[in-house]
Amino acid sequence: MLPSKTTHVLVQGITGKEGSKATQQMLASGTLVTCGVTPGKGGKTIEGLPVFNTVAEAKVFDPLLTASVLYVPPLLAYQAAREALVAGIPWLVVFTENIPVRDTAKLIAYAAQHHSHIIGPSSVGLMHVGSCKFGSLGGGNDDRMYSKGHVGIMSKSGGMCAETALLLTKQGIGQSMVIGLGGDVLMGSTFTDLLPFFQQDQATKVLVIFGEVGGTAEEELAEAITSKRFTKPVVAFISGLFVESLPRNFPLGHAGAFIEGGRGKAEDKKKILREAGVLVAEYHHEIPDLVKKVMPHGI
Amino acid sequence: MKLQEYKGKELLQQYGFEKPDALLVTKKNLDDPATLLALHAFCSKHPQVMVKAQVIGGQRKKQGFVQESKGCDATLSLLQQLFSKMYQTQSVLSILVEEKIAIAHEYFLALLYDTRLKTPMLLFSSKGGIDIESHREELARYPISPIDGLSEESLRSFLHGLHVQDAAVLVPLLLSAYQCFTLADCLHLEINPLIKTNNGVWYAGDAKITIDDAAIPRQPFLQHVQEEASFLTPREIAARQVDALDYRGVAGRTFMDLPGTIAILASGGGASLTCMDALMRAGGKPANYTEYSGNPSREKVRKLTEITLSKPDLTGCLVIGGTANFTDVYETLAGFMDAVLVIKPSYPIVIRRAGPRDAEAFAMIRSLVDEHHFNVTLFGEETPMTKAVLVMVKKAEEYYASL
Repeated sequence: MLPSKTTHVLVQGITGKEGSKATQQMLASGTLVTCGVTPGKGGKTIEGLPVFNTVAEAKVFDPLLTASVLYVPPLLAYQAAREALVAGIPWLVVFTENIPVRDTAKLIAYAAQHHSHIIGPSSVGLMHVGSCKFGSLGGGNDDRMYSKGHVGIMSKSGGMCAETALLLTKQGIGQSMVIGLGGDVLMGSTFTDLLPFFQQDQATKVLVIFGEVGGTAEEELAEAITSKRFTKPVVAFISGLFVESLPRNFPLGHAGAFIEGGRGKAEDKKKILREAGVLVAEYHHEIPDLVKKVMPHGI
Repeated sequence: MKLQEYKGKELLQQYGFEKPDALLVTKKNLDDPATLLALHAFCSKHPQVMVKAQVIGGQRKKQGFVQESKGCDATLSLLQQLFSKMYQTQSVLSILVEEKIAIAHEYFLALLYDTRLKTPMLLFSSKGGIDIESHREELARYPISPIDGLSEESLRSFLHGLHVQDAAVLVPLLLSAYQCFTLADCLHLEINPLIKTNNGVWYAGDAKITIDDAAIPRQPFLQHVQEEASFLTPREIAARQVDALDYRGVAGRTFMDLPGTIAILASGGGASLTCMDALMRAGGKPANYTEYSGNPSREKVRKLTEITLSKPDLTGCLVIGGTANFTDVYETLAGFMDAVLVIKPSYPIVIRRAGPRDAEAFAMIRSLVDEHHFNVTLFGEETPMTKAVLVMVKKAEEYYASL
């Protein structure tokens, strides 16, 4: 099960600027944040919650902890996430950007050993719309963009979680679960890794995907749909036309958004997704119309 | 960060890879007497040399940026010729002159991250050399556990399975390459060809290495390696200086000159690229790409706008972004309008923005537009970003037709 309203959650890096702001916003949205960790800041309180030096200490304070949201500096993220995995936390949402890929690769391997899940790095978070959230989706004004309904969203871009939800909300289409996967070279969770949760979720009737040039996540998604591992309608938008048109190798956009040896191009991804039966939007603002086309009647 | 060949070889040398005897010549120092003396000495010592332009990209040999040469005079004139050429959009600023190696066999080896398996991956071929691209699908692949790394035994059986002759030498070389890949935080490490010579010495014939930008702060050997500014335009350099003004927000770090006529000021990574895609799909031609985010100061946005609008013959300006979480929309748009008041453009300006203090920002812009009669179209969160982009493309076309 994905973390939900009854999940006890810990914030690592709770005393930092981003971490404390996110804690406040998560509490306001109804999330059960019970404590935080910042090495060297044990004994403090933030937003009325106790701060510990280690995850192990936090686990003693609250044995029911099953999720951690990480707001730690990039070069310390490996140690922090490792600590959470060793302490047996099954869900890690990693907000931190710019974590070296070498560290991410090791964390993903350790998570598999511990049967834990990582969302991110560079994840804006996970939201059950109208219920709770793990991370920074929506900033402090969730209701401005998100509305409760039946469309699940997964996105490689955090900002585009909000814009995609806003498009739908303006057309009277609500959302069920929204997850920012982050656009790093290696993703703790790909679209395919999280598909089973959208398949099980009763509220989700349609899935919207924001994908990007580079990597193989969109291709894997198409395979999962073709092999009927996911059976609900899917609408996708894939960005990358501009990045691919550039004559020079400029580092633009997400770390994972680069072409290697002619593979991973946006147009190829769109073609593969279309062949799997996905409706692909050419312009981002076409998403609501495509969702209306596939939304089951009476919803 | 992509390393030039000679820097890549210096890095590999730290991990035990031999490199051919070499002399690096820069464009700046080509006419120095010391350079000419060194070149003379080098060419006397090595009757046959390889002359290799230090540019980033593939197929240098096929495009004439890697050539063989004999003797000091011929080599010097080849150097002069290469320094005057452009490789894609890069000028040639340094050239590596190397002794020519007598090749007995060429191998290919590469290390990178496999996004499907989420692990490092070794690619290997016994048929290295310049035609590797045409049989990339035949490369042998060996996934590596990021926790356990590579072991001698596993490598030996991998090479045995490929019927590779030189396993005894290759095993330690591949182990060293993987050590370099991990310890130096490479995203990509490719040695092609890996050269075996008749006298038993092995060389890295080329080195294509990309370092993970996120890891540069912990890589001491890179602290002094400055990103090559050689291929930046004056506006691109100026925009990067704006970004360095203060630590508040990002503004101009990724400024890029492009051949079109619609000036761009975008906000937010994913949103910016989505809007650029829409602009291109609708037939719009961007004059630049730049992005600001993270609540930059009014001053930074003013300076970035001045640079962005400094290009002659613009037909439009698009200020585009999603719904900001904490960037002060009033402050940033005030910075934009500060520059507009000085430049007084007659071409259409389309703004789509939402977030903190957006209502105040729009009121401020409307009153300036009334007073100065700028051609501004304002959109808030009620209009999808990419629809605002389509309005920009149409208005720019109309403006161009009216000239």
